[in-house]
Amino acid sequence: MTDDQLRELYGRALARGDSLPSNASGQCVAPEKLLGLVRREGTEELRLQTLDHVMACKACRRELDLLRALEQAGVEMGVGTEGRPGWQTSAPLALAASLLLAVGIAIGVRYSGDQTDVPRGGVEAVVLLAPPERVAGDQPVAFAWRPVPKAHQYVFELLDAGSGRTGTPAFSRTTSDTSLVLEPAQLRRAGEYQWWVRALTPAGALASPMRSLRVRSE
Amino acid sequence: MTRFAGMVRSVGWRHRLSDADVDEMMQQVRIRLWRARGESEQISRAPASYVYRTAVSAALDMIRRQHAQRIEQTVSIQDPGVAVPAGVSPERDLEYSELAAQVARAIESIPASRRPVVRMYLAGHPREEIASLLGWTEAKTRNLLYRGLTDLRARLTAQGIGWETTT
Repeated sequence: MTDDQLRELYGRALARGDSLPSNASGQCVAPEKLLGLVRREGTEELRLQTLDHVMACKACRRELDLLRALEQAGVEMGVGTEGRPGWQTSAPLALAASLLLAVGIAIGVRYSGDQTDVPRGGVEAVVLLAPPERVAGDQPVAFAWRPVPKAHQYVFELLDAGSGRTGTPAFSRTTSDTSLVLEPAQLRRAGEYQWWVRALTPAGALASPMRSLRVRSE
Repeated sequence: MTRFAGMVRSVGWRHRLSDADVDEMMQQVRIRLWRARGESEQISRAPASYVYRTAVSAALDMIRRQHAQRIEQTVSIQDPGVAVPAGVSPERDLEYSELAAQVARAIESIPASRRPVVRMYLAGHPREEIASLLGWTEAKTRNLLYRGLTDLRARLTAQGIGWETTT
């Protein structure tokens, strides 16, 4: 059975409520435990127990998603780092990354009128490989870039470049891979976007040029 | 406040969160700020850290209320998530539902250390997201997921469920 088949069947089990162990019905985890999971507080065993229930319970999944969105928004605004051992050390880096992003967006906005790529990070900038400039809106879009030596993480940003929304972040993710796939639902709408990738290395961050992406409505 | 709401909404998209969920929570935040600060000018001057803490507190209360409501609710068989797709016979649908239930039971039987990762993956979360939530390395996540999926397939195979079952 393929992963996709398993996903489809599990999705059905989730929708029917079959995925929840019979002894766990009506025993949703306390909100504080959900927050602990998001903030990586408590033992790993406890967090795995919480996650096990959450991933089998539609209602708890929505609640976890809400808390994750809140926490991430807090971190991205530089205020949501209290009480998180795993994130405390990365707070200055996140702040620096936000500043770098803000500068990047400002440059992107300034140069959005012409089609020339905006170089960031000098000659060693991240090389973007895919997708092409125009993609269909009803298909997943695969983004790929060339590995950067010693990079431990890559920060991917997709910016809305439609009229009146230029430079608004539409999606971002930090990953250790050199590719990621966005589902049509994650792109949310057809239109103009721009995207770029920053490579985080021990020596600092290197960035790609900004690349345009037009998502066609099919 | 507006900036924070925009940020939550933007981040929420990544987690497939509906605008309605975010709106409900931000409405609670507005009410709390209004009660605490009164005038709109004071609310607009509230520091981001204060708005963030208020939002977390409002979200936790909202979740508590939802838990209390859930205990009183019964599950409806008219749940849109279980609607029969057009053109699928009731027999086929029943068979498929039973297969889904078997997959769910098989997941229950795999080791607890691997089970949540498998659940998260099958629910559509990419590996990087699993690693990020649990604070694991990509290698550890990949390893546990691989083992968990192998366990799951072995249990399904032992029950006579394989490739041919869903074709």
